[in-house]
Amino acid sequence: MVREIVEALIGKLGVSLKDSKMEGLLGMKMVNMNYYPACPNPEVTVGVGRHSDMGAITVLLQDGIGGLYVKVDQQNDADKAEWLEIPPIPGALVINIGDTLQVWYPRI
Amino acid sequence: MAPSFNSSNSLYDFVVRDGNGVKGLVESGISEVPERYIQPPRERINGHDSRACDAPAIDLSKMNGAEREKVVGEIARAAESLGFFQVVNHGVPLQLLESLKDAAHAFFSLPAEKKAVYCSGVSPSPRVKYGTSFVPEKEKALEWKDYISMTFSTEEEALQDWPDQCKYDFSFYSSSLFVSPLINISNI
Repeated sequence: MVREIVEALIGKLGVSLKDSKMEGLLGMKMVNMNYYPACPNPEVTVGVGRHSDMGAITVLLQDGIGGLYVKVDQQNDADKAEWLEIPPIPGALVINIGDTLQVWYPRI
Repeated sequence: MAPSFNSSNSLYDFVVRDGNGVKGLVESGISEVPERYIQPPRERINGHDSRACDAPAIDLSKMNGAEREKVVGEIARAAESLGFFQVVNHGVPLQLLESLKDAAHAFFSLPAEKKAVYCSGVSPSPRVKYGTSFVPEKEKALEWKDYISMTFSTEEEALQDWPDQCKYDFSFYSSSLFVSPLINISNI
């Protein structure tokens, strides 16, 4: 599935990647299992602080609780940043374009 | 009886060094979040002020049909704008997704000493790391999260290194997903 998405994105640029390059982009895989216990004061804590993912692509499986927010890109200062909640959809996977692909993409 | 965390050090030792994690902290019977976990206001996200993303999920099954160009266009637009999108009919069996959540629950339900063998510095493999927060030794405010992180290039590596609870249904990782599934389990 990941390869299909990445190939579609790269194909959109009108190029195709050699297998060896694709392996370089996607060969190293990481599985993270994150556990967020029930929190007595969730309004003052964060489960994961603001960050971007460094890999090519992240596939995120949420449970039904929610709490995933994405920062909307804008020119204004950080204090006025707008955050969009990505609500869990049963059976769906969340795809996040990581730093590696973001840097690679316009240069491919 | 709830252990007393009368100093920041005893809390740190219990949660980080001894591998109890946030899960152990909660199970110790705390009634409020310890000081060490309180984030400065600018790091918090106020859920009430944010709106939900209303972009529809992308139907990946259409990638192989007449609407391929349209679906690829949707993916490209989402990737270039927000950088986030949801996919459905992605070909990963839903039963498998459930089994991954079960695997995560099975691992985190282990007693602290069984999880602590995978802590950084003592883990039998550099590819497997159990921990809490992100870099607790450097963070002023800790994150309310425990994790196990496992990297691999080949299935053999994973089968050799990973905790038994997480090896479950391994074929899934290489065949359907291929890369970087990040599983998010909450229990609020």
